Amino acid sequence: MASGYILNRGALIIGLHYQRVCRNILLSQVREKKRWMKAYTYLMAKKLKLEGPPPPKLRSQQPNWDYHAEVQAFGIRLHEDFSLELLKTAFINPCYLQVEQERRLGLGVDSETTALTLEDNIDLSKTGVSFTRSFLTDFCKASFPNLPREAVDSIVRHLTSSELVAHVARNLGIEDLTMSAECPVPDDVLHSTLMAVIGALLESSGAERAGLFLRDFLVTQLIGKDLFDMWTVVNPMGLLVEELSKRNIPLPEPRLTRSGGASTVLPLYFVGLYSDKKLLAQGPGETLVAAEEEAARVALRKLYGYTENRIPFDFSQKQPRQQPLIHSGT
Amino acid sequence: MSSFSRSAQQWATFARSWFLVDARMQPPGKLATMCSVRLQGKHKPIYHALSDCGDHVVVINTRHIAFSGNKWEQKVYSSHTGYPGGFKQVTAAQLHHKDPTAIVKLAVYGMLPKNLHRRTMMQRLHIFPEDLPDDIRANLTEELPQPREIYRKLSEYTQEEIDAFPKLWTPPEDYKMK
Amino acid sequence: MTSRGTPSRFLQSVLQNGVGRYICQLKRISIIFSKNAQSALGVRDFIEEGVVDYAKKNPSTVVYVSPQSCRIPKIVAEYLNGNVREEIVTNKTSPQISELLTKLTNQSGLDIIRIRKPFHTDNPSIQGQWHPFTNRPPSIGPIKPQKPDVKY
Repeated sequence: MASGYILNRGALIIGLHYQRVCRNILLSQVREKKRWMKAYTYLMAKKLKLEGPPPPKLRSQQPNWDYHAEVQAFGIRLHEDFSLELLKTAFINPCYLQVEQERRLGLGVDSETTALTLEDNIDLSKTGVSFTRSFLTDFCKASFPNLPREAVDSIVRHLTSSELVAHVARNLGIEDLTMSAECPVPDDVLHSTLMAVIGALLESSGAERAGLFLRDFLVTQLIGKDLFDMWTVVNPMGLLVEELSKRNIPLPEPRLTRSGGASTVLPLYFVGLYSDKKLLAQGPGETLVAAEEEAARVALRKLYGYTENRIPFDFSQKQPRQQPLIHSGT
Repeated sequence: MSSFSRSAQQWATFARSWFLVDARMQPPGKLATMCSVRLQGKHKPIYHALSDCGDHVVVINTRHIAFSGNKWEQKVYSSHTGYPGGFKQVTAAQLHHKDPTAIVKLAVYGMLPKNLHRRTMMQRLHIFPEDLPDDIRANLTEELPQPREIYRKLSEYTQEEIDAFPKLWTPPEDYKMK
Repeated sequence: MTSRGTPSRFLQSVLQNGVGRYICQLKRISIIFSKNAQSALGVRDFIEEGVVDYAKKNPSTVVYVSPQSCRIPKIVAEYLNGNVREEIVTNKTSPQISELLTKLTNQSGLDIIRIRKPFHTDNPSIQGQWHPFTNRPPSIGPIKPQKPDVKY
């Protein structure tokens, strides 16, 4: 802007000079090609290249922001009945409180008049986390009764992991409402905020609604996921042997069932696992070892009931009830 | 249903099969039709013109292919060397004598689409005049049925079978067989 | 060769929207207009007639009406996934603006670019994906050239 101003000044000076030459013409505005524009654009582009894009700004510091209306709309949007006090508390992170306190002290006003009377969301977040854990564990156990404990744990860990929860929170518009110290809100803050929102829902509407909330927003993230994407099993064959011996089924014997292109660099082997002369599972692979491992994984999926053609989750038990229409403020 | 992992499923779906065709007593044109479909991958449900999904085809016993009619003498393979007076014309019999794989190869080459993939697909065609080597035998996944049934020659029947064959009439004693 | 260079995406929804419950993806709408400009005539009409109805009908969307001195009135729509769309409503009438708002409300907020296929599924095959050995009878031992098949 500064250079633009200077260039404008330059144009003005030229104009004045022009005025001196022919006195009867007053040149106050140049209505021609804006010659200063090119230099100005260049300068701004250079500045952008040197400094990078401007730092992101919180939505609450941008124009058109009404916190109360936003929070109200947030609850209605999710078709949930939040108590607004709890919901507002859920968005206040301890890091924000700390920074805000320091900022107020730094302004030099005495601490009594400007004392913050806000609660942070630590308690809500804790209840949210514990409720989420228990609900998801119960849900997994109910949906996949054959799944072992470690698998359920790793599925729950995947669903409550910081990245996934932060992703859900970002796409629910929680990032705008979160009171955080840093500007692009970090993943763990978003995680604790969403958990606090779940805690607030639990306290305001009860466990059933909170369970439905979790089912609709976290469990849907399981769609299209493979079991072994979430649960790392290093030795599937060993696990399969263990599982089969638990169920008193004869141990699997690997047999090469199909092969193609064996002497090329792109071979394909199919290994079948037979137990008591019955085919448990077969799997393809690049090498015999890989094919055997894949066959063991397929057999495990079949044992645990996590195959691709399992019955999908039922997300349609209850209709969300009709919310009272509330006029959103301007 | 299979429930393979994603990478294994991909590897299996896009793996190249190796087909074996026995060309003994088969017309080269019919062989070439079979081969060109497999080389292009058009027999697969996953076929797509932009994905390179052709299979390998191994043709054996091309020395013993069969032409019908008088094609061995009258079918002419022409080529030009590029030099003046370099126009060469050989009959099918001459070409087959010189190179027993050439007739099948040219027939398949002519049936493949005329684009930049043609040479690549030809590289996946393996032609052997007689039996096939062991390293290729290890790759095979399936044998294709021959397009034509092979009938036995009269010379392959034993005298007993000929005698047991029912006759329409008994030739007289002084009948001269040609 | 058409539209190969243009950006594209697959058909998708934000956070599997609609699987559990449907969420209106439009979180915030700001109507920016001038109080006396000619081009904002329709917007002013709309604010007199329709904006309150719209806000009552969509309680999940926060509506901001901000009069500024600007020549070009516009509607800024912000979506749950963080995308912002600006629609310029110069010289548009009140019904047109109301139609535009309905359209913005129903959109998912994902980029409006070429969609590669008009369908999408997370489970691409019901009976399992094809591989070269699907529906193939099992073969015992290595493949060998068959003996010349004798026919009568």
